[in-house]
Amino acid sequence: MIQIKHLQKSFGKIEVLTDVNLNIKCGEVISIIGPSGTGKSTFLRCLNLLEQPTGGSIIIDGEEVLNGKVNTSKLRQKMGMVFQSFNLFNHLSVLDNVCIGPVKLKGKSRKEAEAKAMELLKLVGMAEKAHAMPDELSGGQKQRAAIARSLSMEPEIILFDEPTSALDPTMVSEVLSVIRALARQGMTMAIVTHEMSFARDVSTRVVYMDKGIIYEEGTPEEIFEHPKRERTRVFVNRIRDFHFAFHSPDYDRFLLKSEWQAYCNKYFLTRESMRKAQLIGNVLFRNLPLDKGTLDFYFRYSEQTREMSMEVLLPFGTDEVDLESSQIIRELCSSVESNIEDDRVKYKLKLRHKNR
Amino acid sequence: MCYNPRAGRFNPGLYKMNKTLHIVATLVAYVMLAVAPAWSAESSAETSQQTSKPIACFEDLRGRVLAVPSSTVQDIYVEEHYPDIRLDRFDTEADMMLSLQQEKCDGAIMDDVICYALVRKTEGVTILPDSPVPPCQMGVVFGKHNAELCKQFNAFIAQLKASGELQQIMDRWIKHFDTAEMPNLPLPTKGEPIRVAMEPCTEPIVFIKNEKIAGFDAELVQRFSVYINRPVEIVEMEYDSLIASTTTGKADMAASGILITEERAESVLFSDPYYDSHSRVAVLTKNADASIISGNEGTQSLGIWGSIKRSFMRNIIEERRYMLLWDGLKVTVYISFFSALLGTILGAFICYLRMSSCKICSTFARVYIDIMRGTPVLVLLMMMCYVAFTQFDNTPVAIITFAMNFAAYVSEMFRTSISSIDKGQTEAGIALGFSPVRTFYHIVLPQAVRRVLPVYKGELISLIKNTSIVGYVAVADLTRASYIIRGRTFDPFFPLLMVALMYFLIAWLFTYILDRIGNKVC
Ligand SMILES: Nc1ncnc2c1ncn2[C@@H]1O[C@H](COP(=O)(O)OP(=O)(O)OP(=O)(O)O)[C@@H](O)[C@H]1O
Ligand SMILES: [Mg+2]
Repeated sequence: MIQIKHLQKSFGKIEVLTDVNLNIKCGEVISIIGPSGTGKSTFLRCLNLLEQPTGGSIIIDGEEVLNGKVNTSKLRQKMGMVFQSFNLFNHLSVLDNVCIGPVKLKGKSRKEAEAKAMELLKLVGMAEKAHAMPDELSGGQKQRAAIARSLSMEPEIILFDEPTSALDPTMVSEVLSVIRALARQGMTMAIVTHEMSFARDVSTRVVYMDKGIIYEEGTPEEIFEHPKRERTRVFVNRIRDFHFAFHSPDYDRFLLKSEWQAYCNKYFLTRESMRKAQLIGNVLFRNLPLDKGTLDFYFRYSEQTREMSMEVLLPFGTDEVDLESSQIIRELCSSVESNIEDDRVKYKLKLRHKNR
Repeated sequence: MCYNPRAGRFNPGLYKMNKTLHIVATLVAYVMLAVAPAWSAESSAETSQQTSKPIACFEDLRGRVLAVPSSTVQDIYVEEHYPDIRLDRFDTEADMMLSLQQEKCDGAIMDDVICYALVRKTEGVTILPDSPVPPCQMGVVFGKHNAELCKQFNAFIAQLKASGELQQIMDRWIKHFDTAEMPNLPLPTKGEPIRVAMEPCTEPIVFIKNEKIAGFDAELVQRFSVYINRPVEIVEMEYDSLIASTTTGKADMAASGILITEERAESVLFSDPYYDSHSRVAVLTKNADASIISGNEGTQSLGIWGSIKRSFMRNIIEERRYMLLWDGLKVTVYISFFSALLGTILGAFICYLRMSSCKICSTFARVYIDIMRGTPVLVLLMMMCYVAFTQFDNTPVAIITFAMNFAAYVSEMFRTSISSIDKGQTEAGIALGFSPVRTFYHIVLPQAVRRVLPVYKGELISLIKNTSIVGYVAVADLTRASYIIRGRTFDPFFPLLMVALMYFLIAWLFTYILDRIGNKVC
């Protein structure tokens, strides 16, 4: 239905989308995930030409839309858009918000449009509030009305840009369940979202975007359970790095301690986990060669799985060290791997995890 | 205002009641204002006799307060020769009389013609037999290029003097002005008209009587018209503009009891004098010495309502003066309405330029707005009428001026209210499939209108009130009508109050209509 090839978009000198390729088939529900600022919103906005792409092509139903010949208004009528900030028309009641498109753009009679609108409002559970003004609604209600509004134009696809990000946690589920219902009815949708579990169970395909390209895509299973590529894994497991560089044996112990502590507090590590990590750390710092140049130490924690791991990059030209002889390391770590990376010896320690 | 009846947040009934209450309260305030001066006059009449020495002649005013018309011969003379008399300066004789009645001063000095008329209409006031100020001469003013016409006028005056007719005319208007009527002359209608600038606000010089121009200057002008067999076209304007109008070419001659001074003679031509104007001093009868009080006594107190009723009859009913007010009202409404309409359209256009991405357009709009907001409307109006569009009628020029000024203010209001609408609204409209123009029209505009309406209403009201300055360019509006009536009845207060009330009603009517339109739009 929609083919996107080598799509590019820059704002002045900043290149936001470098090369995006994606095919959207009828009936698909595509979740687009990825870190902040990687161009997910920009991508959606390019799709319905709210932003003019600077390169590439978008082919909709076999027709190229970037050659400037298509009627953009007609095109947009086929693509609904739901915004993060709802953008209900403030001067119109909920019913009028849903009617204005069909009446003014499709030339439907007021009566016909109202009947259809009431049907749609029932679908999103807003029939009761049909005569309310937008500023009398809660965030969740506004977003559901906005969904009804985009449905009113009978679009072939709906683009959602973070539909729940501006909502209180208590209202997120009412909006998500409306979107789920639409998915069940076979509506084609592209959803930018930060709700991972929602993306996992509603979508037919998940697209992970990073730094202006589609970095990895696949079924929810593939992306969330077995991500193939490093950055995807870091993202879906929400892995957080702590880094410290040792330059000499007389490193600033107190600085290390306080920074590590702050990191642990920030991501709510338990006291127990923290104690274990520090025990291992102490063994490492005692046994590793700190006097031969810079040594990099990483501590990683996944907010998703609560798994902890450590990584140590030895200084250039230092040999491997025997770590497995340490009682503490054998007890607390599930695995210790070593390999060579860029001429530096690298150790990877996985800490034992109770829940798994 | 904008409320959605279905939302049920406002109670329209309650809202209406509030509004009615508001209007009733305002009207009551006006009535109380009307009662106040009558009441104060009543109560001051009842206060006990002043204990100081009664006034019998001008000398007795030494050490007291005298009201003078500001920067006139009287003002200059008394200040120079009687340094121990304190002077209060006024713009109109009616105001001086009010001050005298309120006992803020002990005497009021003015030209005899006006003094006689005023004293006849005011109770409890007497004229002193003497005045030290030397007489002044009245003449008609011509532009320097009109020497020929001036010569003809001088010949005409000489003829009237010789036949003794001039004396008769003056006596009739000054001594018996109550009964004086304009003569029924066969006025010429053909030929090039002479345009005569006049301020018909001073009885018995030039004033409006029974909706027609009257007074000795008016009669002289009509007689002159017959004399040289050319029709007359009277151009009404403020006293201050009279003399200037003969040099700018708005009028061929000006007559309204203008006194001949050396200063004025430098820029214009004066005809030969036709009347020697003496000064007279009015004092309160109760302060005057018994020897100078003439028969004009025996008026009884009317009570508060009685005196209001009398003011009403005098200022509104007699001589069908309500017609003057009605005509003025029509002019004010006409000017206000078209200025607002034109100004709003122009303002929308300026706003469009100001917000356009074209650098030249937006700079032009900015400069326009700055200039218009930085110039007083009165100055702008004078420039438009006397410099830019001298050949046009003043009413449309005034409408254009007010519209230009109004546009500058409302364009900025429009701009701020449009840019205060969230960009998301536009985006949602476009994403739904509206073109940018239709998005603006269906989505942004209704919301912007709703936001701008309260401030716009305020600006509209101040526009209506601002139109009261059109009198300066000789457009006979509501304010001007009140001046004319004051010039006849010498009632300092009542006509002003009536006019204030009428402005209030116009403003109320306009905002009411605006609310109605606003309710429809949003
Ligand atoms: N109109 C614009 N002008 C200039 N830069 C822009 C514009 N819109 C977006 N950007 C830049 O493009 C980059 C991508 O923005 P975008 O909103 O697409 O990110 P995102 O993936 O949606 O992030 P988030 O998850 O925070 O919404 C950002 O760095 C942003 O600063
Ligand atoms: Mg975004």
